[in-house]
Amino acid sequence: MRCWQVRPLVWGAWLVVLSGCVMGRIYRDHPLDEQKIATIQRGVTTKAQILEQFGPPQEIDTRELAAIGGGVDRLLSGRGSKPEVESLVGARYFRYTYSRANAFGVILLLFNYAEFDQKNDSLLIFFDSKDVVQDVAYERDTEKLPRFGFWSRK
Amino acid sequence: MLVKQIDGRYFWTLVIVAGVALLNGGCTIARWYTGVPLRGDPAVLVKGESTKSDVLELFGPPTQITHQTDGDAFIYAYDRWNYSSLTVAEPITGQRVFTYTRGFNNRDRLVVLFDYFGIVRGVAVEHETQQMPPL
Repeated sequence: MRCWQVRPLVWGAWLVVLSGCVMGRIYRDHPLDEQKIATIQRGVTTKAQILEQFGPPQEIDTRELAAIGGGVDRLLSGRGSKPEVESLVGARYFRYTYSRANAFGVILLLFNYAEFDQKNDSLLIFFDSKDVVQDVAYERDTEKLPRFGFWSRK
Repeated sequence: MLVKQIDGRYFWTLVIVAGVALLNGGCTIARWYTGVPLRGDPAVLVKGESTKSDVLELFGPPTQITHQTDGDAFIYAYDRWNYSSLTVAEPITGQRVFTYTRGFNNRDRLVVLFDYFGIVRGVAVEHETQQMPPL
């Protein structure tokens, strides 16, 4: 094969190779300790203990509403019984989060593909009117992040 | 004939350069994901019976909590954005002569309404991400 016949192939290969790949990682806050989460007990663990173990939460809801008597429905259904004097009707909770995002991109001469995926680990703790844990919910979603974009997406 | 007058070794080079010049521009496909698909089946929630604890156990921590006058509402959301574009540019100045873009931002959403006592009073779910076209 002569030189001038090879040259187009070299050009073609060069055009294909002329490409790039982009990867990015974003981390926000720190991972949540699952061993500590396992120690949280409904009706036992207090708000002070949560703060001591996990530090300041990323989100605090301080709404506090008191329902005197517990509402009309309850009064009607429980005639004769002493009505509840006060109940907490608004959520009071702490939310702890750990956020991660993976970015992946392929840059070719005439075609680009980019992907961005953000997921969070979230721990949500509800407190009752006595600042004792009422409910806990935790999900670890950051482990579902694909490492290399669509190639590793399940 | 012009082609015959050009030396053969330069012919293919000219063809490739002209091709690249004509095709200057390109297409881009992007995908954006925020959150995870909804967990659990909202159909198992029973109005007037299921509690806030049941919802937390089934679906995990909600994306957002809002307060209404008669109780709280949990909102779960999974956000997706599909973007594609085709651009043709003038090769010397880089001026774009044609651009076509299309984007879809769809969400799966689950809203659970509670009364004062943390009992489920309403459920609404919508799976919009399944309706997204691939491009």
